[in-house]
Amino acid sequence: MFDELRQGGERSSSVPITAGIDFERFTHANGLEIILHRDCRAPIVHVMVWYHVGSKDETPDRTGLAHLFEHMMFQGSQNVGKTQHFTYVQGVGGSLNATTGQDRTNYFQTVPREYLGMALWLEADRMRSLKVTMENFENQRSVVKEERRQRYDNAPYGLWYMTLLEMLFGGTPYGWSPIGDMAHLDAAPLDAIQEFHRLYYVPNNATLVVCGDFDREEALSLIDEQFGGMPKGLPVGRPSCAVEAPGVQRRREITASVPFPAVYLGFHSVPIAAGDAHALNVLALVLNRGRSSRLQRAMVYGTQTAQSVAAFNVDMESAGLFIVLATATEDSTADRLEEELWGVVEDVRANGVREREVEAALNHVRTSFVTSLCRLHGIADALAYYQVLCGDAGRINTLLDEFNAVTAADVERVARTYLLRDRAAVLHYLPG
Amino acid sequence: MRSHPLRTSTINKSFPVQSIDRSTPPKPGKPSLITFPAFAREVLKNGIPVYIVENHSQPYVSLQLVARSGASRDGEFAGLAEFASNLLLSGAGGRNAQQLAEEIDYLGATLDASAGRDETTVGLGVLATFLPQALELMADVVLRPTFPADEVQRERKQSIAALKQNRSDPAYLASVQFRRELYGSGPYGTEVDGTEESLRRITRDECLRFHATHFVAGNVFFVAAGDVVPGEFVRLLNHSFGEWNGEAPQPRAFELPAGRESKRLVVVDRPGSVQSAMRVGSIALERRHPDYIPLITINTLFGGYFNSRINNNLRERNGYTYGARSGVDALKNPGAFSIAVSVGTAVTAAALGEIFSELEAIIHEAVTEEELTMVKNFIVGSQALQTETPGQVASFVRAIALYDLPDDYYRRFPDMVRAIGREELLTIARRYMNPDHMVAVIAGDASVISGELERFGPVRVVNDRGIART
Repeated sequence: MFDELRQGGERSSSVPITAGIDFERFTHANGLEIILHRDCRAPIVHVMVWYHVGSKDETPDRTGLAHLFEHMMFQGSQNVGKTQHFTYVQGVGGSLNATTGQDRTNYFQTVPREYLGMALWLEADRMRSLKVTMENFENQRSVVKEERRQRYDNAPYGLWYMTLLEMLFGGTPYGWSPIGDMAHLDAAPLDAIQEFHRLYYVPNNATLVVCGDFDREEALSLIDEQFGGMPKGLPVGRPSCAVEAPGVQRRREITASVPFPAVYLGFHSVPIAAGDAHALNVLALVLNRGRSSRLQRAMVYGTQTAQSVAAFNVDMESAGLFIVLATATEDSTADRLEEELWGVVEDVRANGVREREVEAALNHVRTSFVTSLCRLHGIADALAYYQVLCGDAGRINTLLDEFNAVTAADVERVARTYLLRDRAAVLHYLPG
Repeated sequence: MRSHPLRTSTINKSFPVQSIDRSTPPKPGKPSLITFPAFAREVLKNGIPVYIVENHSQPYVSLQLVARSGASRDGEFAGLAEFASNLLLSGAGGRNAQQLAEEIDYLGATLDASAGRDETTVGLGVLATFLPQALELMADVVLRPTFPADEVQRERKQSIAALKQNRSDPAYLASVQFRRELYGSGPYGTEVDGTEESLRRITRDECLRFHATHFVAGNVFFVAAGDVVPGEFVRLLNHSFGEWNGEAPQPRAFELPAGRESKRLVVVDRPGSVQSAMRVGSIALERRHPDYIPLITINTLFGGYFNSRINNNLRERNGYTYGARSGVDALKNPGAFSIAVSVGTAVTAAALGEIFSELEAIIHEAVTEEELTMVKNFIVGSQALQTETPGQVASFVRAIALYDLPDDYYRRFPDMVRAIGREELLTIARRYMNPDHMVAVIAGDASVISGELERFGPVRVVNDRGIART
């Protein structure tokens, strides 16, 4: 029976491990990119708009604007009252949200399929005619200040990520995080906000993705009705993000109300579309995915100097960073953590990784990829991501093959190339 | 590489743009009826129930083993259920912690265990093709954990560190003290992760005892979702779990503490805090209570979604917060209705005043028909939208099994919501949302906020372990 079952285990599932996302892409005369993916598993549709604008499009003296703008987009437009976007969508049982990153801002809602027209109408109305008033601006500015307090200033270790960004990318548009500097928001005049909308919230800077149960012809007509009359905006410029890797190690300490020391190592890696991005992502998984991973085995289970560890590669449009971190247990110190983190990093650089570790990482990539495709939101977000930041939505269908090509030698090579001790940013977060 | 029809074209249809009326949204099409997905209910040869949500859209399976005993069975060892379940993965069958981890990680699977108030769950997520291998590992973890002494020590050290870490978060401090105020030393009064003091007392013996008592065939059920075929899947489970036996432990009596009906204000001092994290509420009801559906309806309107009264007030009107919400924590036994919000230190008293006036309003005036329609549509619609993935459906099915709800509960749910009237909601609000019977816990800088808070009543100040300041 055991053997039979074992064989059963090698049965290939009736469902292949592949994206297989059939989609169509259109470019409207006004520059709007449109991606349609039909999926009729449930009578719902997901409507998402990506604007190709994020915190890296801000100027160093006016940070936080892209994110504040995300809030302003719910404050009403010509035909939609303040916060009525929520009322419309939630009133039909839908869900919605928006997020701001360094390269893009996205807005999305899932609604029953019969409300596709309404969702498109809502998105088009705020693209066309957002109401940027002083009253809304002031109100959302104070909401954003509380957001910053809650998520960063008042949260333990809350400042680590923005500090690493500044250490690695200071002097470039990646040197600050989307939440921004509250003093900049206080100083921002209303017309700066209005100008932001005029420049970036235009069809030729937007990608509309519709996924779910819809009729193709009807969807195209609705899209044209709602977005078609909008004029093309000015061509959108992209900031220069040329990053000069520092020739020396940079170190910083933050003393704050935290219970234990934590140590963060940051490295320059590569942009999203670069060839080494996948190998760096696999390296991060080898270091930290699961209890048998390098960092967890060494520091959480081995020496037990860390209560938690992490490693990840953040690939952005024009730059990337690789982060390794650990938070101490009671009797450990920042210096000890740093030494052990370097031990794990140096070991990979010197001795490479085993094939089995790479296979485990790839099995994880497959698993998390198929789970992300269980939701229309996951599919829509991936399509928009590859379209906007890599110029090719079709990457969703080749991604797993690209990952399959990563070898142990690649992982060793990227560790040697990018995890450079003498050019790293080293941050110690200390209890004070 | 798979080919796909990628077409690039330009839409050139011309519409008479001027004639489009943009003042209202396009008329919706024919309403689609989303019914709660079907699920199968099978039984293993030893009587263990297995709930199966079959869905082949992705080659993935999630499987939960749920034991009907959680932190409320910790007894004198607060945190025991969570501690013991964490250790299930630290050695089982013939494998030590690292060997187990390596096999699970190789499959790209997740296998973890954690405790809730009423239950302990071992969860597996795996590609369908690796299910048999993963099930073998899961069976070892569930049936044959070894609780090695050195792993008990490691887990203790890590858990205590994690507790200290949590205590640096004001929202956590407020929640812990809120629970303490409501339940005292009763079964729901302590945190699932215990206290430093209790964690220091837990030994390998307690873990073995917890496992032997609660991880028995008569006390568990399975919920599976995804790419499985019921017949084949039940055979697999029977192979791994069919010989398991043991009767469910005696249920533990649940009594609510007396003297919890008067309004109280408690400040958990966090010197230098730039925000105050608040919890305001009282004990409400258990999941099976007939008032549950009307209560979540009035709660949603009050603080359960973005468009709620308190979020509109505290965030959109006053800009005091990034977000305000309320919730009903309905469990096997009565859980709490509570409001959760973080506000700037300077506006702490003003925000609490707004919360109390919103509560007064909801218990004195019936909600409008418009608000009620909106919230009913939201609840019915969002429940339907939340059945998009097999895993989401499984979490509803899990609630059916855990709280002994009828199998057709979520099929009937939309009609039950639609039947609720405004007068009924007013009665429910008066029963569960009266501010005069609530405790308000505020984690923040006592030296700045306590004085102003006294206008709502006497303020008790405690430290981050709940001990009164002298």
